[in-house]
Amino acid sequence: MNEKNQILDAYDTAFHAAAAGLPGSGTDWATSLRHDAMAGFRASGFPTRRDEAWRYTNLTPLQKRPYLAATSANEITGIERADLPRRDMDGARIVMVNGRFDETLSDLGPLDGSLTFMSLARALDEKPELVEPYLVGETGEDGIRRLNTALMADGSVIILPAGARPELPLEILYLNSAGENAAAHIRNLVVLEAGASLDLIETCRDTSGNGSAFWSNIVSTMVVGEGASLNHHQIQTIGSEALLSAAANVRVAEGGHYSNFVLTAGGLVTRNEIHILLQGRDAQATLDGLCLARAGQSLANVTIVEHQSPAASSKQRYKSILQARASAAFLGKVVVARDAQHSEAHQASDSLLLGEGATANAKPELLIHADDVKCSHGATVGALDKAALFYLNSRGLDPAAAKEVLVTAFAEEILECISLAPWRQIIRAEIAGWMRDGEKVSSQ
Amino acid sequence: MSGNNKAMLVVKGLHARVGDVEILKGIDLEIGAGETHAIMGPNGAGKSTLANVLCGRPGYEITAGEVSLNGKDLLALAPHERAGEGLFLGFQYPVEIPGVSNMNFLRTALNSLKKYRGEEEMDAASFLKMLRAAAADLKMAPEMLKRAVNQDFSGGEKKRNEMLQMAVLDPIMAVLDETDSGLDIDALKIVADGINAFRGPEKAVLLITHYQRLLDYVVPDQVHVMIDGRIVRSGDKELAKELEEKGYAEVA
Ligand SMILES: Nc1ncnc2c1ncn2[C@@H]1O[C@H](COP(=O)(O)OP(=O)(O)OP(=O)(O)O)[C@@H](O)[C@H]1O
Ligand SMILES: [Mg+2]
Repeated sequence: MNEKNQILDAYDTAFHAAAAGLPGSGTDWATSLRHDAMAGFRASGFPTRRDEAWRYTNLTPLQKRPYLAATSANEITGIERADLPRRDMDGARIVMVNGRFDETLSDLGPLDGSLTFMSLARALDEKPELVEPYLVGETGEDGIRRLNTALMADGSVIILPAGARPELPLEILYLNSAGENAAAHIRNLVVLEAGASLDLIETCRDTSGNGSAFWSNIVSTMVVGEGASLNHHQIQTIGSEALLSAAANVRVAEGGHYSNFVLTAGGLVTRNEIHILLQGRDAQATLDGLCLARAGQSLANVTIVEHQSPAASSKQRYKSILQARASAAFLGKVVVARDAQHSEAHQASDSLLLGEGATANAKPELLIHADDVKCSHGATVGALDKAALFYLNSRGLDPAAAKEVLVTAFAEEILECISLAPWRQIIRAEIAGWMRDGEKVSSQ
Repeated sequence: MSGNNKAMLVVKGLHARVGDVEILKGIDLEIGAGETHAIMGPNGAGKSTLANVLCGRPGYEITAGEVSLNGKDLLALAPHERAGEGLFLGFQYPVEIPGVSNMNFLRTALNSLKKYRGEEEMDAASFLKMLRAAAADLKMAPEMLKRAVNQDFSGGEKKRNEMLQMAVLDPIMAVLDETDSGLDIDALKIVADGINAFRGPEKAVLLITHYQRLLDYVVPDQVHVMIDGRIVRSGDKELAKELEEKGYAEVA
């Protein structure tokens, strides 16, 4: 109890010390939003494992010590252009270092003319009216999101006017270079007006190689207008001691389509949450995820899909591949409102256990209040097929190669649905790299 | 005819068990270069067990005996190394591998074997050409190459696919476990032609079969009768005819 209070106090103190310098401090609504959120956080604290939705997330690091916002004081390495991960795709890149927009590292040249991009810090200071409608009242529904609202220092504001359809994808790259127990609270706002479409890539990586215990706390609000389509691709491969909590709140209007593919592979703790409201008729959500887990990691995908209008459809497919003693979780909740007739909601989760003591937790939850709907869910957990392994061995593939063939085949089913071809190649390379490292670890 | 050729596969006093149950109770077998042998025997005699043990399938405990291929101790090798040494098993029940295309599977397999032998990998274009020709010889539709390995193949298609693998991987010693079962009359002829095309002075074949019919097409040098984990009789191709007429009980 005492430890808990000390930690909450540390956040409170840091907040009050920093508040006057946080972006938007000259605007009343922004200031009171932050204070309300902080008061809410102070009252609720962090979620605990007693909360069903957080049961499979390792919260111990956050409960043991405060992670305070990265400042120039605790920044230990600078990041140079040469340190940036290689680009395998054309398009603009927004780079956030320790939670702040870094213009010199970013590559805004290829930004489509139809699209408005502004850093959140600048928007709060210079154009608060642009973001106000999306932020006011949004203090956050849990302690982690409240803290994000109180402390958000920067992020990306991306607005596409009606009908804008940039050809090239837009990437947001998050990098950390700060020392132990630093944190970044990032808030994004992505708005697609009617008929607009965008391929948005979010990459969270550890390039510093210092493997520090850094906490990235990213909250995004995404608005998909009538007939608009947002393809959201995420790679989460942070360092082995780092924490990542990512939460997207998505609203989809009539005939709009939100699709997401997430590769979750890094970190001590990675929790990826997507909360979707299908608000208009024929709104669609397609969620796919692949989770690669090693021993000691706590990785979770959490989805909540609310069908609020007739004929909305959602399709979710999550797969996880777990090394020995690893654990991974998928929590998927689908709510179909009473008048959301003719809705279709399908959910599947499949886990492949590669070693002893691995645990995959799948928790589907369907709350159906309409009577004329098509809903399904299924979860499978299994090991590699021994007969298939021997078949491959008997044809000359050594055990590692046979394993790689079967693991790739398991993942491939979910990669097929990725529309962006270069992205599929990037994910394939990630899987192959993970498999090779996995072999190294297990053969030690 | 036998015994004159250089010994290729030599099995001596082979005993194997699954758990507490002894299944192979002392097998002796010698197949020379250029020879084709057949093993016949009632269900449960241990024929597939012998094939599996030769190829190193996990789950069997070898309690006594030796197995060598061209003088190399096979029992000391892992399954993929045995394949590298030129051993091939045509499975009685070929395994389905969802998500892996037949073509990629065969290419990966061939290149693995080449790597084991220190040979250069085959480039994609030459491989494809070779694969298409082999499939055409077996009258397999080209689309079968794109489908996932054995997935939703009919029983006969699976067996034909085993033959395709044999043709492409070009082993020196092929153990074919009931490759003739489940084939229609035309397919049996095609498969038999495939086996005959494979035969050669530096190759050897061990056919496991229940039917005399295959042996009309692929004439064996020797026929062995296996009952209850032992080879109880060996003879020439006439033995198969005798079995057909009289049944196992009388012949043994
Ligand atoms: N893994 C196993 N566990 C338990 N028993 C086994 C196992 N494998 C084989 N056996 C038993 O060993 C015996 C021989 O089986 P095997 O498959 O070798 O027979 P077979 O001669 O190939 O028969 P068939 O002609 O029906 O194919 C059978 O009684 C079988 O039940
Ligand atoms: Mg058998």
